Amino acid sequence: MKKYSLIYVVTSLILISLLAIFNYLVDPSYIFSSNYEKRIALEMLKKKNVADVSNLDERLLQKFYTAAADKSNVIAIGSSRSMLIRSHHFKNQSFHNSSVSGAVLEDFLAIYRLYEKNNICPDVLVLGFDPWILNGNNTTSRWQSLKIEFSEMSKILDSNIEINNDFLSEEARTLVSLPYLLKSISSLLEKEKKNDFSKELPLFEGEDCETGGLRWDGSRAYTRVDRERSIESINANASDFAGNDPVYSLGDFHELSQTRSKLIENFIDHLQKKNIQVVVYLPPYHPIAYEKIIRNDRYKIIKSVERYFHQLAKEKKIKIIGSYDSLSAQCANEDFIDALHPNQSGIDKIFSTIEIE
Amino acid sequence: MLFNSYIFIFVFLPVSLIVFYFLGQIQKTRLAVAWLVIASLFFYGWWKPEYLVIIAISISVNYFISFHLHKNKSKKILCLGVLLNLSLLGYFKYANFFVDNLNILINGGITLSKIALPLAISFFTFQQIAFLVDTYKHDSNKVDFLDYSLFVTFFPQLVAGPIVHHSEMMPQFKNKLIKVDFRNLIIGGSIFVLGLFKKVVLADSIAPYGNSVFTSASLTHSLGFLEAWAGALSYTFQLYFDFSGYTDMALGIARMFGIILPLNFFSPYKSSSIIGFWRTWHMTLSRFLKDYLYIPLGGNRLGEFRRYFNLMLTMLLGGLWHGAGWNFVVWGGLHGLFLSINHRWQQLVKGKITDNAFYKLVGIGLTFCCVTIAWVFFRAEKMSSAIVIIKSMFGLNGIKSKANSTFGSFGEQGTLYGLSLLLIMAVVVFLLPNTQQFFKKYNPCLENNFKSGRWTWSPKWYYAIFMSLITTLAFFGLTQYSEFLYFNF
Repeated sequence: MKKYSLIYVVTSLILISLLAIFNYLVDPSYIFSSNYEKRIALEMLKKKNVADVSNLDERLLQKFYTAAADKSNVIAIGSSRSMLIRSHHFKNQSFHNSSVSGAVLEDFLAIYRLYEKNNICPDVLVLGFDPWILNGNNTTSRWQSLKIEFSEMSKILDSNIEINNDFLSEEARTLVSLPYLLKSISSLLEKEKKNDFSKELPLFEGEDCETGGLRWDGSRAYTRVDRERSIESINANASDFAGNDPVYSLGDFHELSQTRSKLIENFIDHLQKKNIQVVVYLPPYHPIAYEKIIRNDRYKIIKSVERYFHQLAKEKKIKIIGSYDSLSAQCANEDFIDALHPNQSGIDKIFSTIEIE
Repeated sequence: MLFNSYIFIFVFLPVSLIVFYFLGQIQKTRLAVAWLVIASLFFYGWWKPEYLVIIAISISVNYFISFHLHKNKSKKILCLGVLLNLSLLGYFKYANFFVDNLNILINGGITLSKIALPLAISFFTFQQIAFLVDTYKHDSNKVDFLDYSLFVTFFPQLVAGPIVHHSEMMPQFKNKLIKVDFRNLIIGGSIFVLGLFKKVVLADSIAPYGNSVFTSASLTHSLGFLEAWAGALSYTFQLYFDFSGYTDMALGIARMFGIILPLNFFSPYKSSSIIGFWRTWHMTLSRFLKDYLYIPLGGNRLGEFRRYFNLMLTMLLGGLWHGAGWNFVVWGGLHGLFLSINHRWQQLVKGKITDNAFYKLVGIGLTFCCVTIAWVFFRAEKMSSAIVIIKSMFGLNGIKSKANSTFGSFGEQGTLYGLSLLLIMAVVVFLLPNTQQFFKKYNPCLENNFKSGRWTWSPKWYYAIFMSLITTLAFFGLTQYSEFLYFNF
């Protein structure tokens, strides 16, 4: 048994190490090499629009961007539902959109912290708050790319929100992850990597491009397919989305998290102390999706979230625009790209009312 | 705490083992048993500490009742005990289901807030009912509170079985000589790793494919014949690898502590009849249902009609044990029907059909199809989704789906990958020996009267390399959080 144990332990350690090294070297999603995000940030700083962006860590992109950016008068932070907020919504003001997909409260604090750390705090901060911001049971880990910044901001705001210190860091988990191993193998089998570093980053001019991408102001350009989707297919998507179990990021959302609401209040106090004007934006859902969601007992809490933000805006004397209810936000079915995301005309309608002092 | 989590594998389990063997080494045997109870309660309370109150009350009340049953063989005390257990289970598991159906029946508006189901309540309640019944029948010896607590809470089997019988466990606790035995640690560890591999590599890999098809069905998308079968088969394999993987892990962990648990799975999909299937699938539940429900109902002693009636009732209640929903009742009913047909068939063909290879092969195919069809009801969240899939499985919606794919949203490449996974799993299920056969030489479970497989594990270098490969893949599969399916029951 001794010989068996020795062979077993040594072989296991060798195999685990070899596969981890393999994952590190192939790195199909560029987790261990942040070159991709750095190069995109540099292009954006040169006021260039980058086409065909994929597999990037959007949080890391914010880190590289803010490290070299000048101050913008207006900054927007939110999820992908806020990514179409653009510079033309704020006449005569410099603007940058720092929204990241699936943003949770931790992202808002960490991204703002990047601006504060680099001494480029804006005059106006638009916060695109989705309802799941107050869901204490929404566990996502994407924000952990900015774990240090969140931790710093959390201390400044005297928060008692728990920072989940996983047994292994996100990078270490990726290194020994089976899905990542399969991705590495299939990436090796593919003839060409999608984002080959030896090639120039694809850029685009004008408003939009075929493959979609990121504009220099941080806003998202959707692909032509997304932009030209038929109204019937968008309506079908909205209907399907509301039938998902759970509805995106709203699983186990039984009550408004007091820890999170307190943190939001402290955050707004902190911004106001720094004379930053705060605008809260509530991104609408597609009318069909919204109707179905609020009819479901498990998700009608999003109405309470909206009431909470209105009450907060009143108390803190801050502007609030938009609504999760597309009717209140004056958006119709054709103002959406899918169940969750308003299209440019939808966002333009909402932001046409905004006046920045 | 999940068996397939870093915290369990690298912190909880090693600490539990080290302290347990340390206490054993310094001759503090009772303290070591007490340590196992504390560790088990900690393991259970990790999910929700408030559940500890429920399990503590349940253990104390049942022990108190059994104490009185030992002194006084009273049917009234027994009935009270069984009633208290069933009331606890009824309240937490079935109250919402009952109120919902009552509202439909009387068109009423009775409101009852959602009652959360405490983890493992179905398992520890059944174990304790069996203990009370046997105490009444004087089939159980008097035990002290510590051993009884360990019998109920022993963490390897607490959450999802095997449903252990006191006669299997108490003697092992009683006569326990706690001494570090590297053989037990290596064999237990190897069984655990095989179970972990089944769960995190096999079950979790196929899970998204079944989920995709069942989600499509819940949105009442029409599915094609191939897509419906691919989804149903994905779930069939996922459930097997998930649950038998969990059982292997339980057996392996218990073995590391020097405790041997009963057999719970023995290649059920290789069975050539439904009767055979129920003798090899979740065997400790079947044993409980037979000994404490089917036989007390009269079993097959009261004539043909009563035999089938008892069979059907046992399976319907067995279905309901899995969950408070009509889909579980239908699943149980289907198995009751299959079993009745199987028994009748056996009577009809007795002596006419020899047990040849062809007959066996047809039997395996037919049994597997019946089991797969029944799993659709077991998995579907709504009856309507189950019906969508069943219709498609019978070809009522054409061969191919409108999307022309076999796995809902997975596209051409994903579909190919999914089908390859199904093929690999079929090979593992139908052609390879099971865990117990593989470890047959080293008594992996209490029962050891089965044939060993083509390959049996021994501490040779090539098995060390094979187990290293399995360990590496299982370790790489740990990065995803995924609960065991049977935690819901």
